[in-house]
Parts: sequence; structure tokens; C-alpha cells
Amino acid sequence: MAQELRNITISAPGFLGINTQDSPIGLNPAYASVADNCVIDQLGRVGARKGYELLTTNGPAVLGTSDGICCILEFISRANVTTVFSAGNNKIFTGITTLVEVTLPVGYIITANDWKMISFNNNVYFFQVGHAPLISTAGSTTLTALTSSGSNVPPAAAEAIAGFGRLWAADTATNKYTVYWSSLLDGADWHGGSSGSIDLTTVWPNGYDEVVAMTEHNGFLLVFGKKNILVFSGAESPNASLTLEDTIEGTGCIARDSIQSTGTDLIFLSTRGLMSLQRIIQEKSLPLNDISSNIRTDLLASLTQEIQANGHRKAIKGVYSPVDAFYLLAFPESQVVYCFDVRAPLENGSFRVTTWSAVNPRGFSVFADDSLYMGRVNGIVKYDGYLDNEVQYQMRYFSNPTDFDTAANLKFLKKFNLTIIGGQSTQTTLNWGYDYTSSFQKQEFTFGSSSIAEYGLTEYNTDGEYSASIIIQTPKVNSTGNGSVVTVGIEAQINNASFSIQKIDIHALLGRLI
Amino acid sequence: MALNDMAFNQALQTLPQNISPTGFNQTAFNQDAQTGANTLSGMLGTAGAGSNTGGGMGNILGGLLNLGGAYYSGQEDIKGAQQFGQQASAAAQQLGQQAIGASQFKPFTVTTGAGATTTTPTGGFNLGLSPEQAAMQQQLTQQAGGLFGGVTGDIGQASQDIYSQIRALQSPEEERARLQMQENLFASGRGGISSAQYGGQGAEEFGYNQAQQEAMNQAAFQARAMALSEQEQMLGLGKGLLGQAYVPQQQQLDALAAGTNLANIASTGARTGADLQAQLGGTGLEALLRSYESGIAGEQTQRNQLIDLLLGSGQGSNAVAGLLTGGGGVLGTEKSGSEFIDDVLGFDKGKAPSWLSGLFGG
Repeated sequence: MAQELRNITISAPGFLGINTQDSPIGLNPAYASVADNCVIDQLGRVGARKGYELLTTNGPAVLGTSDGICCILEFISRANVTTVFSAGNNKIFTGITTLVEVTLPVGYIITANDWKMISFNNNVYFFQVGHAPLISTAGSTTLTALTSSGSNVPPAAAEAIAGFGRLWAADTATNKYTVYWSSLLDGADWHGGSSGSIDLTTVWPNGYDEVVAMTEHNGFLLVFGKKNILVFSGAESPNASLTLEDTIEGTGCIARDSIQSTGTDLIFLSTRGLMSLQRIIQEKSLPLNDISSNIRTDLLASLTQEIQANGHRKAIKGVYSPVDAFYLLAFPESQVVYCFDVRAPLENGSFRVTTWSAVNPRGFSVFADDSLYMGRVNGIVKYDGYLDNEVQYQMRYFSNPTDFDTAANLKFLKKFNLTIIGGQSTQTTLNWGYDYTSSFQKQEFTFGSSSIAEYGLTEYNTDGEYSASIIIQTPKVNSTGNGSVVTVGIEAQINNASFSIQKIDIHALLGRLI
Repeated sequence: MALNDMAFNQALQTLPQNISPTGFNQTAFNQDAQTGANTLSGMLGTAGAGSNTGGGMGNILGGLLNLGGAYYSGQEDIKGAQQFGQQASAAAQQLGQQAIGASQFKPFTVTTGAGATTTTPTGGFNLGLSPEQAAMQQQLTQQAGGLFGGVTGDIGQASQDIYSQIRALQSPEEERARLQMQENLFASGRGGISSAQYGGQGAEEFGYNQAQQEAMNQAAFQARAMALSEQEQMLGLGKGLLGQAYVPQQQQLDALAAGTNLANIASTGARTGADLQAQLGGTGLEALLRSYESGIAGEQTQRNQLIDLLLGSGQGSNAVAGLLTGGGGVLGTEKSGSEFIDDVLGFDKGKAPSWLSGLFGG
């Protein structure tokens, strides 16, 4: 007797992002095992990330064979003059399209690109361990060094921030336990005025630790060690009232540039994964929940590949894009970027996460216009469009193995009905496999070649484009094979058009009991 | 001591026996005067027998001799008075010596519980303290000396000593405060703060150190003031002890004063007796001199009366004719005194001594 076809629908597949931590059996099919070059779009679907547009034209000439642009800072002076500083190839540049080297002090030699650029009091300060701090007055392209004068020794620190009306610095080559602060509103005075310092060796709860990063958040000065976090209050008058408000043990920061504030949360990378400090503050009496718990193993695996110096992964960069509502965490060595959707946490407290590949950014910066800029090997790129520097890139989605709630039956997949939003002449490959295999059966197809209507664009002497602004594709693919658990995947070559997976309907025939 | 009355009396008895207690031998003088008058009367007869001039001339000479004898007798009286003056002076000196001897200071000794004070003939005295009082005085003096040594001691060292004591008192509380501060600092995570604003340290440490330095400064000034005060106290105590050390001596002196008053009672009688003796002796001598002066004055009066008797007195209607000048000129010879003498005695005219011619009115 012919058996009834059973329709299995995966609505908004991958909507919950990647989850490689939980057992796939019984896992919500909204989780994905792979969501590469994906983001969670504005409608909660897995979609292709944007590409990037290379803005720099003289990248190879000035960057050579280096890692490219590692640091980017947009500085807007009081005179409303915008200057973009960037660093790479042991140089400091201004400009985006054309990178122009700044004028350094005579004899000043740069040996690394791990700059911390700070805009403070209409000046830009450049801090890097082993380097005398530099200052660009009001965005000047001529930098001067904050040289030592008598007892005034500006710290050649790896970490520096601006907060509470002064500069704060820590992590020098010889002292990784002292936090220095400058005089009020004077980033050049580190000895007189209201400048000062605090030795944290008596404060670390677990003995010795090293300062990796600092930030100002929620009225507190946060000092991140590798394994501990110190929460100081009274930083507005540190000499008189800087007080340890709280100490968070066991969780620190291992990447200075991973710290990003989302307005409500402070996100940073620790050895336990990506953490949200706001949650830690709220739940300081409870076990910590990291927001990367769904990919914890993968993330830590990527972490181990990063070059570290005393536990500090300097190359790891993070950025928060409020417009795109994601937090990016780039691992240059593993050439992967984790994209955390920060709209809302999941039930387990983690953020929905996808991955990006083929971007391999070395630095991030969100400019005043909320555009995301990235430093790459060949210069500064802008996160925009759906091509990677005019090259297609592949979006990949794979579900976790699912048994359709009938673990004891064989499943015979008969047909896939896909609902794809977007896409334009997009070569797509449907993958399916049974029983945890990674050798998928594939079916390639190309979405229609209709062009997206371009209202408002005048294209004389060309064929009119009268289709809808958003193309909805509903390809149907017949499938074969059987197995107890099924894995479904879609690989699409993003071709200058958005691509989101709205729904996957699977017609399957349930077979005998295994 | 009483005066030597016996010596005084003997001195008085040695005076010339022919001198009356008034200083004049009235009897001899009267006898001599009577003799002279009788002589002149014999020589000249009665006053009314002027015709017996020749026979009366011899009587006149006899009267003149008698008059000279009387004059001689007067000279002897003068010599006797001079001798009496010398003897009276010697008696007065003797009385003075006796008075000195009688009023001379006699040393005495005052003995109290604190010791015995002995006066010396030269007017001094020796304060003799008892061994106990002497030991007490020595002890007090030594203690006073020690205190005076403190007064003149090093004020800086004294201040430092007091400062150290004050700081020793303050240090425990400061240490507790420091520990409390350190606990608060490290509990609040501020233990490692170093700031230029607070001299290379945190605000709490700065405040603590500031308070400590203020306490140290205050202690230093307080120590200085206390050292000076203690020196003043030591000065006062030393002065007190030193004064107390001399209290036994002062008591001795007071006892000496009291003994002196008592001694004065005893010596006052002797000195008063000597004074009285001297006064009485002086009074006796003075009375003797006065009686002698009265004798001389009486003799002068008698001589003048005799002259008046012989030569008359008064002038004008009050003139009284003398024995020798009655009837014009001397002895009725109608000659002046000088002429009379020249004639009688054979002097060249105008060569008779004036004193002699004066006897007859010149």
C-alpha cells in the first residue's frame, strides 16, 4: 500500500543561527550547522551577507606584501573636518581612496601595526607597545611624539582609552599590571596635574594577571585582565575616589580589539568565548553565560590558531555595526569572521551566529555615517553590495541532521520546494545527505535571470526591467536516497543580489522502522 | 655691766682740796681782800683824815704790797683752776674708758632645734646647723642644683625627648589608623594608586600622611613648649628647693634675732649704767667747771668792788668817791693816778706802767 507523503517544513531555516554544540538529534531545525557568509536578515531569515567594495586604489603600492590595513579610525575635528587614519605595513596613513603616509617625528620607527587610535579632546592619540605615543593635533597629518620630559613619561602602552575626561593606558613592555591615567583633558601630561596610576597586583582576585584591555561602560571603568575583570567606580576622579566596585573572576579578555559596546551590552572575547559584560553585571551572582555558547568549540578552535603574545591575541578584531545589528569577530589566522546577531538573544542567552569567510578583514571601523569599513590586505574596503570586490562569493547553509521527529523510521526524500527571496542569476546548489554524512547529494540550479526592477533609474536605449523589486524564487528539486536522519544544505554564489532562504519544504516518505 | 662707781669717786676725791665744789676758794680770797684793805687803811688812815698824808704814804705802800699779795693769790687760783681742768680731763678720759669697757659687746650663743648660732666679739656670728639640718640642706641644695642643671640644659634635646614621648603615645593609634586605611584601600582596590595630585600616592594615604605630618608638627611645637614649660617648672622647683634649703639657716637667723633682742635686754642695763655713769661723771665735771667759773666770776666781782671802793665809781651825779680818790686827785693830792704813781714810785713822768697808774684812775 502506498504510503502517505509527509511534508516537512523548515521555516526560516537557520534563523537561530549556527549551533554546533548541542546534539543534532532533536535539535530545533531552525538551527544551522553551517551558515557561512550569512547574516540574519531584517526578516529573521538566513541570508547572504553583503560583499565589500575596495575603496583604496594605491593599496599594493603602500601596503606591499604586508597584512594590509590593520587599524582604521575616522576622526572628526571640532572644525568638522574628517580625517581617516589607518595603519598597516608599519606605516600610518590618512585617506581612504589614496593612502597617504603621515609625517612622523624625525627618527621615529614603527615596527608593528597594533595601534590603538583614540580620538580625545580634538586630537588623535596613537598608542602601541614599545612605541612612544603619537599625537595628531586636530587631525593634523604631522604626528608628534609624546616624549618623556623629566618624570613625565607617557606610557608606551598597548592599550589606551579615552574616558572620564582623560586618557587611560596600560600594558607596557615592562609593566602589565599598572593602569595609568593622564591629567584631566591633557593626554600629554602623565605626571603632573591629576594624573596618576594604580598598581593592580593587589587587586587581582586570582593573583597575578595582566591588563589586556580597558573600557568605559555604564559609568564604570572596566579593566580586563586575561582571566579577571575589574570594575572600578569613581573613575571621574580617580585620584580621590577610584574604587573597586566589583571583581569578576575567571573571565577576562584575550583580545583588546574584541571589546565593543552595543549600548546595552559590552561584548568581549574571553577564553571561554564571547561574553557580554552587561549580563555579567546583571547576573554577577550567577554562572556566566557566554553569547557564543552555540559555537563555543568552533570559536575556541579558531582562537587557538591565532598568534598570541602572553595570551593576548592582538590580531583578533571585533566591531559592532548598529545598522546591521551584528557584532563581527574576525580571526585572521583561521580567516573566519563570526557574525553575531545582536537583535535579541536566544533562549539560552547566546546570540544567533553565522560565519563569514573570504573576507579576512584585518581591521574594522564604523564611521559616523554608520557604514562599516574594513581593513584588508589591499586597503580599506566598505561593507556594501553583494560582491566581494566585484567578485562573487558563496553563501552556504546546512541544517543540522534532523529526524523529523521520527527517529525510528527511514526517510525517503522525494522533493524539495524552496522559497528563496532575492537572487539574480544565482547559481545555487541544493545539498542533501543522510545519516550524518558529509558527502552530500547535490542538485545545481540557477535562479531566473530576470533583472530586479530599477525604479528611478533612467536607462535609455536599454531593455526595460519591469519585474518586482524583490524577486521571489520557488525552485522545486526532486531528490533521492533514504536514511534515518537528513541534512539539507544550500550553496549559492552571491551575484550582486541579496539572497535569503525563506522556507524549505521537504516532501518525504516515511519508511519502515529501522 | 654697771659702771665703776668707785673709780669715778676716787677721781673726784683727787681734786684740789682748796677748791670749793663751785671751783673757787672763797675763804682765801676773802682773807686776802681783808688783808689788803686793812693794809691800805693802815697806810692811809681813815678816809676823813686827809691831813695825815705823810704818815699815810707808808701805809699806802704796805697796802700796795698787800694788794700785790692778793694779786699773787689770784694767780695761784688760776693755776689751780688749770690744774683742775687737766685733772678733770683725765677723769673724763678715765670715765670714757670705763664706759667703753662697761658697754663693750659680749658674744652670746643662740641654740635651737636646727642648730646653735654663736656670735663673735667682732660682731659676726656663726650659723651652726645640726647635722640633720646640714644634711637636709645639702640634699636640697643638690636637688636644686640638679633642677638648675635641667634649666640650663639643651632645649633641643629636651624637646626631642618630649617629642619622642608624644610620638610614642600617638604611634599606636596612628598605626591602627594606617592599618585601617590600608584595609580600606586594598578592600576598595585603591591600594596601588599613585597620583601626582597627591604627591605620588592616593588621596587616603595623602590624607593619612598629611594628618600624621600635622600631628608630628603639632607634637614638635608642643614638645618645644612643654620643654620650655618644664624648664620653667624646674627653675621654680629649684628655686623652691634652694629656698627650702636655707630655711633652717633663716630660722637660725630669726632665732638669732630673737636672741639678740634678749641679749639686748641684758646689755642694755650695762650700757645704760655706763651711759649714766658717763653722763653723771660728765655732769660732775661740768658742775665743777661751772663752779670754778662762778668762783672766777665772783673773784672778778669782788675785785671790781674793791677797786670801786678804793677809787670810786659812777659818773656825774652818780659818782661816788673812793677811799683813795676823795678830795681831788689821788689820795687828795690833786694828782692824777699816773702822776701819783710817778711821784710815789719815782718813775719818770709818764713812765709808770699803765696798769699801775690805772689803779689810781690813770
